[in-house]
Parts: sequence; C-alpha cells; structure tokens
Amino acid sequence: MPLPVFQKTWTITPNDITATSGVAATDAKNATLKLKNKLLGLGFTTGYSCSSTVAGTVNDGVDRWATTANLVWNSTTGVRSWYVFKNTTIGSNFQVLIKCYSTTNASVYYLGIEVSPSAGFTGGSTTTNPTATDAITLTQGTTGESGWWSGPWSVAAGFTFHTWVSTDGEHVRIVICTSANTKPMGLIMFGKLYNPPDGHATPAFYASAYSSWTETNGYLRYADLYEAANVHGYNGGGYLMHLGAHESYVDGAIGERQVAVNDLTGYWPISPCVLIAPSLLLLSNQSGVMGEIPDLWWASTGLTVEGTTFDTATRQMVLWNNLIFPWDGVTNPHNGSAEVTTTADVDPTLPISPAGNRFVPISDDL
Amino acid sequence: MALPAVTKVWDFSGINQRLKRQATGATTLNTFRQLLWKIKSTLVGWGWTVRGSCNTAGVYGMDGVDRWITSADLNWSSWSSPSGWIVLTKANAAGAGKNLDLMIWLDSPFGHTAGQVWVSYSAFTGGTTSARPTAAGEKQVLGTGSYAPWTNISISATITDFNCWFHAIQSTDNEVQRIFATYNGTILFNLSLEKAQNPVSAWTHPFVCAWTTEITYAAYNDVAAFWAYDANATAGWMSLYAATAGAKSLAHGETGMATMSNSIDGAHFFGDIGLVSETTGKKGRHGQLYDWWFLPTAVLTGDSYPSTGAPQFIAAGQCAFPWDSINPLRTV
Repeated sequence: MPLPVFQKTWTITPNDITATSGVAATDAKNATLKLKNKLLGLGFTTGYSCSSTVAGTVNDGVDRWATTANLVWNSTTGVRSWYVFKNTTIGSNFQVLIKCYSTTNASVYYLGIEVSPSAGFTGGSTTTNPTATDAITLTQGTTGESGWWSGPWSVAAGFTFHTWVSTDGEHVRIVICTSANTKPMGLIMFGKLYNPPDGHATPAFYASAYSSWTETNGYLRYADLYEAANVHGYNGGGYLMHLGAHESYVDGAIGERQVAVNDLTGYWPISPCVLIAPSLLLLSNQSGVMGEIPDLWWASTGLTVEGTTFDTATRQMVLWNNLIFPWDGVTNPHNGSAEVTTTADVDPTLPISPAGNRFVPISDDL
Repeated sequence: MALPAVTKVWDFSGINQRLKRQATGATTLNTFRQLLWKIKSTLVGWGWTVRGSCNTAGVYGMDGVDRWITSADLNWSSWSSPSGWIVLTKANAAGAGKNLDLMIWLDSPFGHTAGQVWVSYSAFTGGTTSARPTAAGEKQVLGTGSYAPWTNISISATITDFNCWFHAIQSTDNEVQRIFATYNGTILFNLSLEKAQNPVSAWTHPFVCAWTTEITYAAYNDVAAFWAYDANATAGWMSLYAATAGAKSLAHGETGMATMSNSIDGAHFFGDIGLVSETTGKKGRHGQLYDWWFLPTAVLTGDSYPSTGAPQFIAAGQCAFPWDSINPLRTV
C-alpha cells in the first residue's frame, strides 16, 4: 500500500526515556534539563544562559545548565535560571528563551517558553530575564508569563521524549509522554511555514501544546490546536493560527467526523495540516491561510491507541493524540508507560497534499 | 503568485451564452424554458443521448426520440396532470458499461420554477404524460420525494421574465461537465456531472452528480450535495460532502480560512476539494473533485483570477472554476 510521500527527510530520535525519581518535583527538573539538552541536539545552539548564580552575556555561547542543580525557579525579584537558544535555519536570528520564572508561581512545574522571531533576546541577569522586542510567549499565561509546558506534574512520573528534526534543519518537533498515563502531554514545535503568502517577513510557526496540573487526556488534540488558535506566527507583530485540516466540512475536520475506517477501503482517513489565522477581529493581527506544515497530519478521533504506527508493513508514521508524525519504521513507540505494537492502515491515496502556493490575487468584475 | 495547476483540459465554447427575456413584464416561463432546453441541448451536444421524452403536446415515448425540439416543447404541471420529461444517457459515465441515465421531470404545482431530477445506472422505463419514467435503483438528486426549485428563484416568486447568462464547461475528455447560469450577479443553478479525481479503487462507480441552486459552502460543504453510486456490499447511493481546508473557529469548517483575503498579500487561497461520505455503509473519503476550488466567502460572482491579465479562473458563487483566459464571466 503506498503511503504519503514525505516532503522532508527526518532524523527521528524515539523513546528517550527517563524513569521517575519517585519525587514529582525532581521529575519536573529532570524534564526541564532534558528539554534543554534535546534542543541542543536538534539544531539549536547556546546563545547565553543563567544558572541562577552566573548570568551570561549575549552570544557568549556558554551552557550554564550542566545539572538540575543549575535550575532555580523564582517568582520574585530573586535569582532564577534561564537559557537562550539560537537557530539560524528556522529564521536568520530565531531565538528561544526558557526561563524558570513566573510572577504568579515559582513552581518547578512551570516554564516560560518564549520565542524571538528575529530581534533576538538581550539583557538578563541572575535576577532579571532576557527580553526581546518581538517576544512571543508560547506557554500558558499572559505575555511574558510562565505556565504549563508538559505534565501532569501532580504525581511523580517518568517521561519519554520523542524528537524530530528535518535534515535541512527547518523543522523541529518534540513530543513528551509521561508514565503517569499513556498520553502525549507536551508538544513543542518550531518550523518554517511551507507555502507562505508572498511578503511574509518571518514565515515560521511556533507552538507549545501543554498539559496542566491534572490533565490526563493529552494535549495534541483537535480541541487544543484545530478548534483553538494556539499556533503562533509573527509578521511585524505576533498572531495566532489554527492548525487546520486540508479537508474539513460541516463543523469539523474529516478526522473529527470520520471516526471509523473507510467502508470501501478499510483504511483510516488522514488530512495534511494547514495554518489558518482567524479574522482580524479575533485574537490576531493577521488573517487567512498562512501556509502549511510538511509531514504532519490530522488523524481520526476513532484512533485511540497512542503510539499506533502506520501502516502495518512500513510503520513510517505514528499517532500521538490526534496528530500523525513521521516515524522510523522500526521502533515500537513508547507512550510513557509501555511500548506500543499496535498498527493500522491509513488511506494514502486521497489526502490533499500541500500543492504549492495557491494564493491568487483577485480581480473584480472585468 | 502561483496559480493552481489545472488537471483537465477544458472546453469553454459553451460559456457566456445570453438568454434574452421574452418581453418586458412577461412571465419567467420563457426564460426557464430556455434554460432547461439549453441544458438538454448542451448535454446532447456533449454526447448524451436521448432515451425518451414527453413534450407539451402530451406526446411521449421511451423510444430514443427527442421531443424537446424547441423550448416551447417544455410543459410543466403537477402529478396527475400532463407534464414533460426527458431521459438522457451518458454512456460509460462511471466506467466501461456503467451508463448513467438522467431524468428531468417538469413536475410542479407551481409551474416552471420547480421540478424533479433523478439519476440511475439502470435504464429508465415507462412514463406517460401523467407519470414519470422510473428505474431500478434510481436516485432523486433534485428534490426529496417531491418537486423542488431548480434555480435560486423561489417557486412562488412572481418576478417577471429576465435576461440571464448560460455557462457550460466540460473537460475535453468528456469526463467532467458543469452547467450553471448567472443572473443579476448571482448563480441561478449549477448542474455538476463529473468523474471523481483519485477515487479509491474499491469505489465501483466513481462519478458524482449534483444539482444545486447556489455554489457556496452552504450548498456543498455544509450539505452532502453530491450523489454517487457504489455497488459494494451495501449497494446503493451515497451523498458526499465537498471537504476543503478549514479550522473550527466559529460555526463552520470554512470560518477563518475563507471569509477574507489574506491579510499579508491580499490574495485568495484556493482550497482543493475532497469528497466525503457519511452514508451508512459508504462512509469515508472516496475521492476529489477535478479543478474545483473553494474561495473566500467574500468573493463576488464574476471576479476573476489572477488580478491582472487573462481570466484563467472565475469566481462562481464561493468557488473557482477554470476559465477561458479571454472572456470575463458574464453575470448581468
């Protein structure tokens, strides 16, 4: 059975498991440190960082997060840790800030994840955070705040990281599963917009789908990304986008309405993703289709086994919540609690794949 | 600005045909007769054959004779009263030996503003001046068990005769045929008779039929307006939605994508269309439409693409069709 032809070549690192320490706070710290290390392995480099005792300066390139002892959270003017990452492929001066700080809660379960599409972060000390004029906050909360980024952290749990980076470095994805359940509880995703409209100054997207204190259903669902505008973009100002589906009808995506296999083929439907900024009157300073995401598909909500691989023969794609990612074709995906051997077949011949730039200027009646 | 790739080669010789009103103050009968007669004539010109017919004079027969010689041969009436009909056949519509019959019945107590349209892959038989032909496995594609308006003009409307424009395009391989009319800047109706693109191999009859009175998300994306047959285990007809790019921000799949031009470049996104069924026993996405795209809802019928130069695509309702790159779509 033919499957979708990938638009990118991927380096996939599946099943990077860290067992629980038995203490929830320690597990959260371990996850934070692992997130740093993962980003450094996915094409990001160190801009500068702060271990709470020593703060670097812009572009000193020093990694000061050697161990979890370097991770200190604060909610006041006291010391805290932070880290600035750089990636010159997704954007010429694209940067990411992770900070262990929140004005509302100094919990180790919180992180502030911000991106700077082009301006870059500057400043920062052991008692202040770096800032950027174009900073966008990805984690829960208001601008500049910290919030949930995975979880649930209410119980001690191990976690499993799955990472993807396209060989051209333009797309980075991290999915985090937890042993507290069998669901992917965190998603961090950066990438270039595929087929953006002409004139988009910084054609990239930035997303963090996060869990909460007690959420157990995962956060890569239609409710989180299709029905809500939780993917960020920037074009002279930040804006929000829905992770739309190339095939939607009536009131939802094909995967929301087709919850069983095709009666004629026995295959599950999948639909490529399209990024859609809602009306100017809502949430956003941009509107319209902003581009597409290569090699990411919406699945049917009838598929409920996390880590199901497609198809049975090749196992070249994997299900996390309602999204389908490329997979390595070999490894049994680990859902945080166990390896998954379930396979299924998707219908590959019909998904309407990104077909190139189809933004067409209009002429009024001739 | 890249334009969509057009899959088919198209014959545009049937676009922008002017249908003139009869006289100031006259009834719409003349216009409606002309429209339906043009549909019949166009289909015959495209290779459909007449299986049988019944005309104004009450002469009928399932004998291969076309009795709709002129538009005056079309007679509307209701149920037991004399009413006209015609049965047209498209050979090999859905594949070798899968011939599609299309039956138009001028049945309406309101006269010429309504009627019924049925299709079948078995031959229609019978029919008199007071009863329509029938076929095993037939499916009504216009109306539900009764008559329905076949244009967007209300069946009880009292408007007078009007000028309109008739447009017919077909792929040169005869597989995709669309007929629509425009009036006062709006769509009067759209008849779509076309093979599906990239059908699943198990679909035995990958051919869709639709008769709608508008070309909108409401007509095709919110409603399963396309009808198609499949002979697999639960043999029968299924209705298909036209699915396109969207996200749920308010009520409809199209909201967010389709209501506006792109704020960065002012351009419109052409949304490809998949065919999806929720019919019991026939559920699934089974194919796509050829060269038919959804547009932002804010477009106006008659707009064209690209913004400069020849009109390679036109906006008809809220959708885009290929166009002849020479003439604008006439709408008024």
